[in-house]
Amino acid sequence: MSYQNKFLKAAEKSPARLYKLLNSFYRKGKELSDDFLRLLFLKMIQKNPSDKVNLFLPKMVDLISEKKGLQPAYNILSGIEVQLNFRKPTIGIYDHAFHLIGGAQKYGCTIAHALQNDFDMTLIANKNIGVEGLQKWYNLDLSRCQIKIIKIPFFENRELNKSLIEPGIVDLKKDNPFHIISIESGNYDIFINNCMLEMVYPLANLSLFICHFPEREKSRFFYVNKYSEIICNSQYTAAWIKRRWDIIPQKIAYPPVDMEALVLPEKKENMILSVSRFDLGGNKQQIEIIKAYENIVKKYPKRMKEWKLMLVGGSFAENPYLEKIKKLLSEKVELNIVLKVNVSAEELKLIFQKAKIFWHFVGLNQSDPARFEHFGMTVAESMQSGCVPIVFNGGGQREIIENNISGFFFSSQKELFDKTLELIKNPGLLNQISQNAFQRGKQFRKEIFITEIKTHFNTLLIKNLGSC
Amino acid sequence: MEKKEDIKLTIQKLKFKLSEEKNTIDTIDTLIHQRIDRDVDLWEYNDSELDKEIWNRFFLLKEYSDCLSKEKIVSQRKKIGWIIVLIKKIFRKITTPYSQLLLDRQKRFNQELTIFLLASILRLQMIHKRLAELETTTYESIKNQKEFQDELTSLKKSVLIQLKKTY
Repeated sequence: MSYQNKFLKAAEKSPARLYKLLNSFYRKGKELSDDFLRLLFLKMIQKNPSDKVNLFLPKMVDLISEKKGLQPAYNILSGIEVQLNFRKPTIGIYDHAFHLIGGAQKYGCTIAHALQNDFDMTLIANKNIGVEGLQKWYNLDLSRCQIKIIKIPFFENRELNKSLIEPGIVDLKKDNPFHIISIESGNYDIFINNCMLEMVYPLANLSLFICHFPEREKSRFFYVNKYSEIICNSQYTAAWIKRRWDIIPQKIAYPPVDMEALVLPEKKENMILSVSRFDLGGNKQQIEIIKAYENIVKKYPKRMKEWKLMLVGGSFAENPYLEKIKKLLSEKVELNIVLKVNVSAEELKLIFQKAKIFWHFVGLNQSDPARFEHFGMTVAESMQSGCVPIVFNGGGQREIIENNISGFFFSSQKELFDKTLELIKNPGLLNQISQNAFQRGKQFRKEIFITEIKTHFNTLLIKNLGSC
Repeated sequence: MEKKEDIKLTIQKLKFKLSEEKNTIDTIDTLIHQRIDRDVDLWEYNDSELDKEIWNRFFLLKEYSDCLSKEKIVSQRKKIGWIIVLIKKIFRKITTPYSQLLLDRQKRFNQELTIFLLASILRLQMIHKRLAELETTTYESIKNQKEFQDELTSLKKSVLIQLKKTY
């Protein structure tokens, strides 16, 4: 009889025998996995009278605490509670940037929204933020979520940039400031690291690492391989995770995009649109867009006469890059260019519905993979309103658009001009591609993401904790 | 049903106890009886960290390279300290010619080695700089080449159209 069968038989017949077996097993310096221990405990609870269980369970928990540590003992008990349906499973979603608006944070909040009815949901943040704020930012119902703020002393004690938690400044030769979060992760059945922070060691029974791009190389505090599963936002990111960390993600879930118009907008204006944040470093390349537009207008003045360019994006106060754009536009008043900063979600939706063509330059003339779109939510948003996207051929955008069917890729300015003029000259083609883009955009809807996440988590729970 | 509630209560109590104990511990290693952080390895340093480390180590080497430099003679004893210092000084005076004989060659070797190291580091920095310049130039020329190719293709097309129109 194998030693596993021996243990299982003992668990079913006599808790005293199981305790004795475990004791002698550990004395010999041997190890049993947490999953197998949980199975043994479960069998013991199910097959024996409660007085015997109550007598031996504490002894066995003490033994496990002594031999394997407090956390594994705690996890085994938590797993049993979930498996026996004593309570709802708990989830902790951590994001060090929950207090800032961002695509990655929207991703995490949508997961929380999707699962809040079936799980006890806690959002773990490092800076002060309330559920109401997150609900408003992302237009999501998060009423059944709780927020837990855990301040990290390393970042609180800094003089500069107190509102930012920058993992890049952590001195890898000193103590890991994120261990406070790692310890917190042990209080949940499922821990989700939503901010691709590889320095958080997961202690929960089940742990998920959500990666929007592997920003840093492997270091002394690299624990991604300790997570039960890795979810990423695109095949582009998945390829870079493999390349940079030599890890293959288990799941790709495209981000939720909710800019969808109910029907394909019919009345559109002759407008080329660009929607991107006004990045300090100019990563979104709005200046290059203005220059390209100027060139196309100069080269084809007649064709472009009735067209305008609209630049829309978010920015914080005192943004030198935005100032540069404003100055440039004041020098080029003859060009029909409109600039809109920090517009509301409703206004943005209306702008998307009016535009015929969507330009997106991110990734153009870049060599750093982090400077490409890892997915390209704004491209999918434009498609959901029936804009025809003409975007740089690189990054995650390749997974959104089917070239020449639901949009176009370009690699040089000439290609951009050719595609744009082709659409302007041929309204029939523009209409056809617009319809295709609208249909394609539906595949990235929030509802699809929510269904996918719900199914995935239920499967994960059944597979790992035998509960649903 | 009663058994279920009974077990539920036991588990809750046990978890509470474990939780209390967990709160007193602030290291993951103790919580899971495993060491999770490795010692820092030079191989894991990035470019700027390595640069910093190179210069830190270099200045330390330079400081220690003179094995003949004389350390100050001191004593920790209060009352008889001066006698000990005196004896140490006499001993040093007697042994210096012999130790100098032995260590002089070592000192010269250390100094040569430090200069050699400095030259190597500087050379490495120059190579690094040239490499960065080369990368920029290559990138620019590839970009230009692509633009030139695009122009050439469009020129070819327009010539062909003109030819077709003419003939």
